[in-house]
Amino acid sequence: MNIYVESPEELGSLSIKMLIKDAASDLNLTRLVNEVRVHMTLDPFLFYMSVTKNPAPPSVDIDDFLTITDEDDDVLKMEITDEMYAPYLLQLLWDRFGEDNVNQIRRNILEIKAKKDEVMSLPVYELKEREVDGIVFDLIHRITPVGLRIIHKMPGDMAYLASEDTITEESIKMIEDAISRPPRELTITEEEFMPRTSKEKK
Amino acid sequence: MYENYMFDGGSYKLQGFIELIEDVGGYIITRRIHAQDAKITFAIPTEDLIYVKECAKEIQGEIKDAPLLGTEIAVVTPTLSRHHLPHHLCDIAEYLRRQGAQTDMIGLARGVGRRVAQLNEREKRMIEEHDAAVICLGNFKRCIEDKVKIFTDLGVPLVITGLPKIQSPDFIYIEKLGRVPYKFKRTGEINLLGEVAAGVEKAIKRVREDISVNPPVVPPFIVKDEIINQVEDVSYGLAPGVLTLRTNGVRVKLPYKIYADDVANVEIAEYKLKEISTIKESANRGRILVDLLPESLVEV
Repeated sequence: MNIYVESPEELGSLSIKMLIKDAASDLNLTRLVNEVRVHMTLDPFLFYMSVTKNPAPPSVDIDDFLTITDEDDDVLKMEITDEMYAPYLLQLLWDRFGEDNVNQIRRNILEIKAKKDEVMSLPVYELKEREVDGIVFDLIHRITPVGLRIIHKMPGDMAYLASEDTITEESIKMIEDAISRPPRELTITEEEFMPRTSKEKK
Repeated sequence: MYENYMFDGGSYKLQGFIELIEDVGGYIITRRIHAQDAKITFAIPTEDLIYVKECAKEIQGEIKDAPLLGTEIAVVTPTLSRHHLPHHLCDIAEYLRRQGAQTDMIGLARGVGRRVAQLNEREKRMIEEHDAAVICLGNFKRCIEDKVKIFTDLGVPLVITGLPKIQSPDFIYIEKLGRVPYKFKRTGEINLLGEVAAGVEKAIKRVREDISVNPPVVPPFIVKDEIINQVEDVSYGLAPGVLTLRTNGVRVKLPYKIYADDVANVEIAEYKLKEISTIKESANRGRILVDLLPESLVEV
């Protein structure tokens, strides 16, 4: 994962880079994201962040999280084996078969008036992508300074501009110009800023 | 001149040590004895330290300086969100507690951002009830310089931390302590906590020097002892550290509306507490705040 941070203060940029590195490692995101780019200006106070995802996320199949436990003429009894997908799956089933036909007996046990083939052919390929999106949004939320509550969606897959003031057309243009240039590497490293061990130690 | 110290050792033959402290005219401030371990904080006249050290050595204990003992420090963070808490703020608070201080962590309601950052009246009063405040700010020089303006008119000594290097005569500033997403573990980082403690110690020393020019009739730890002896409900209080020492007073963690009169009528020598102090309601949960008056303001 490449991380590029640009701001008028080099030390501040390094600290944001360290924050991203730590948050991405906490969220197990390092293999799901190719590049994170942050561009900050302090006057006006603008924070741009874009995340480029890895184009090939691991795929998921409905068998991975759903098991048919009992099959009657027109009622299927099933168990959600991985509850992480339960909210997505329930929404999908409600949309497809209607809320009246989906009976949630327990947290992970469902009864549906449908045929097995209809359920097993539900389009779930995008669930993994949604899951990755959720984690990436979490990363963005963790990194964006908490005071910057005005958000503007920038062109691109996951790119946002945040500010504590109104975001003007000029600000957007300024940021677009800045990000159209290739990112700069930082001149100081983490080790130079805060060594892992004391130099005196032998 | 009384100084504060901390005893760290075993509980075997501890009674003799406690009696020695009382014999030299000292005061036990906290006493925590868990099975074989004992941790006692106390204040004694400096000239008697040598005898106390000898006695501690005999019972395999150790005497450490507790420069911040008897102080209450506010550790202030811009918000309670995960952007600012817990991480290094907890490290700072923990390190100050090891130096003997009582710490309160205060998260501001609207302390975020640069232009929009605010400190409301109640937060200001809460911070000012403490002896010093450690304010933890962020990573960018420009932002810290702007944001610090809302704190500089606080009536307590300030120790401000942040990542870049900043110089100001209005407060003590500790650099390299910005927004980090982990608990401190590297050698350099642990040393930074020592720098914060040294900064707070410096600020408290100034406060104590100001008080020593015109000191109160009785020191706060005597007031604490008398409140424990005369207000029975203090022993039933559920708050952590029901009686907290401050450099110039005591915080009693009981409701002001119910116990203010009881505390005001506590007798200390020939005075009642209300005659030698001002007793007011704290901005923090309506508890009792006792501020001792300087000797010159007490009517004889």
